[in-house]
Amino acid sequence: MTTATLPLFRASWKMMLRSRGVIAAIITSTLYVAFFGLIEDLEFGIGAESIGFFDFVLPGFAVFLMVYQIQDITVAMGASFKARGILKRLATTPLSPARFIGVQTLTYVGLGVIASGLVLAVGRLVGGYVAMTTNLLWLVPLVAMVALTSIALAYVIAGLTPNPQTATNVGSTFSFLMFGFAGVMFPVAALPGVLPDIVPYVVPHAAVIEAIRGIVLNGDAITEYGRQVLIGIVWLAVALTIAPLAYRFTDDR
Amino acid sequence: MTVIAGTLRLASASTRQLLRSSEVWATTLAFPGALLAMLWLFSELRFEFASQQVALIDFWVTGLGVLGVALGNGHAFLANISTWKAGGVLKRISLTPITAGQLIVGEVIPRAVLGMATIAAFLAVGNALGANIRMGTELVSVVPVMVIVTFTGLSVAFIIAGITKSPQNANAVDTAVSWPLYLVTGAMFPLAAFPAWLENVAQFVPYTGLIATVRGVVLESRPLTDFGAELAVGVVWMTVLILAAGRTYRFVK
Repeated sequence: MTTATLPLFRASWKMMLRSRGVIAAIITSTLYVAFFGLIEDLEFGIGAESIGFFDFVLPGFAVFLMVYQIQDITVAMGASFKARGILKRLATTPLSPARFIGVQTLTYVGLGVIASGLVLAVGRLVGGYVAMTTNLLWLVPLVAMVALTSIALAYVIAGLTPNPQTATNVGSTFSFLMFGFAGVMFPVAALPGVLPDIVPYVVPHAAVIEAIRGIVLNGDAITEYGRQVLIGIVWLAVALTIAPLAYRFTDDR
Repeated sequence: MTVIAGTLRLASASTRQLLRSSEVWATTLAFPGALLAMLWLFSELRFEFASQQVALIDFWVTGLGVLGVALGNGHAFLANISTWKAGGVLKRISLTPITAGQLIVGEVIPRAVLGMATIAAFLAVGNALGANIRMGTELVSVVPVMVIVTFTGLSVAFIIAGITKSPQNANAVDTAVSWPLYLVTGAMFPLAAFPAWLENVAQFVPYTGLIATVRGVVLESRPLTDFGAELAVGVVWMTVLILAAGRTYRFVK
């Protein structure tokens, strides 16, 4: 099993690094953050409070710019597999569709973690604030959790949409909403009424990004974010449960 | 059948095709709708820069209304014309009584009308949701500006389709061209927050002056005559791009 899976990992990693879409995703994510570093004098104003723009967006963008592109790639790929019956055909070979998808998913999670680290490092180089503590190591499992949740949700989208074109449109709209409501681009605290209290629970990634921001900007320990991590784990479990129901990974049913 | 009557029939058929396309509904309804909902919920948020402040909803409804809708329309149009090119559709059309020019005009007319209608609706809904958009004669004043925006976008689509060999490459080039425009045209972030050199360079980027013009007219009720330099840059870009489009995209063999 392992001996068959390792070459698959190597092949998957090579294919991913040869993909123009992946290379473009890494380059654009890095350039976006580098560009934000040029913004000298911009703050968000909420009531009487002001928040520095670049410091606020850097942690969220470092994680989500790459992850959302991985999600978009997965939506396109999953919808294409479905439309062309790739997994059905794969099921007739010794390689099981579940192992194929599993290896590919873990490869993308690895890419998400590495690319997020790269984007965060570039952000710091161009003037963003990052608290350089050992707590930053906690970003590895947190980013992996965000990436895995996103990939599972991508399969849900690919499974519930009728064709690749609609899947891509739904996926892009979903990613766009995440940018707005998950605390990536805008402070959740600026939402009206009770929404700031509700959003961390009902919007995927919002709680984990709150934890990531605390660790990056304040050097906080992970133990201060037990509730956020728990919400992230619940979202991951929900996404992993729904994905195989929405998307036919095998031809068993 | 006269040439004009034939072209109008083609335009009518293109309009029906457009209205059936999920891509078009995504770019004219789903994305703008999601964006407006987001801006409405974040209507307390404002940008503070260079001793000024502006409500996020005012800034983005005008900036992204102009740029996002124009680029979205161009993107959907590009998918069509690059597929025509890859499939040799225009070469084959040139053997029929319909000319390639008629086919193109028949496609451009509904796209241009749809693009402008979407932007007008976007501004009107933005106003209803609380953006400080003037809905009187100001809206009529910006129609010629939106014509320039729309034709600039469609010309860029022709150029990209002309210089690329496949719809996939066309899509990748379009993405690469579009994303810097969101950053440096002042559509999303105030140019006054950037270093002076970048702010100066940005004045000569396509769309920058046009976005500033629309903002000045619909947010501050300023007359179009206040924006002579901005409009001149926009007209020069549109002219150059239309000429380049004619040279790069082979309308006939």
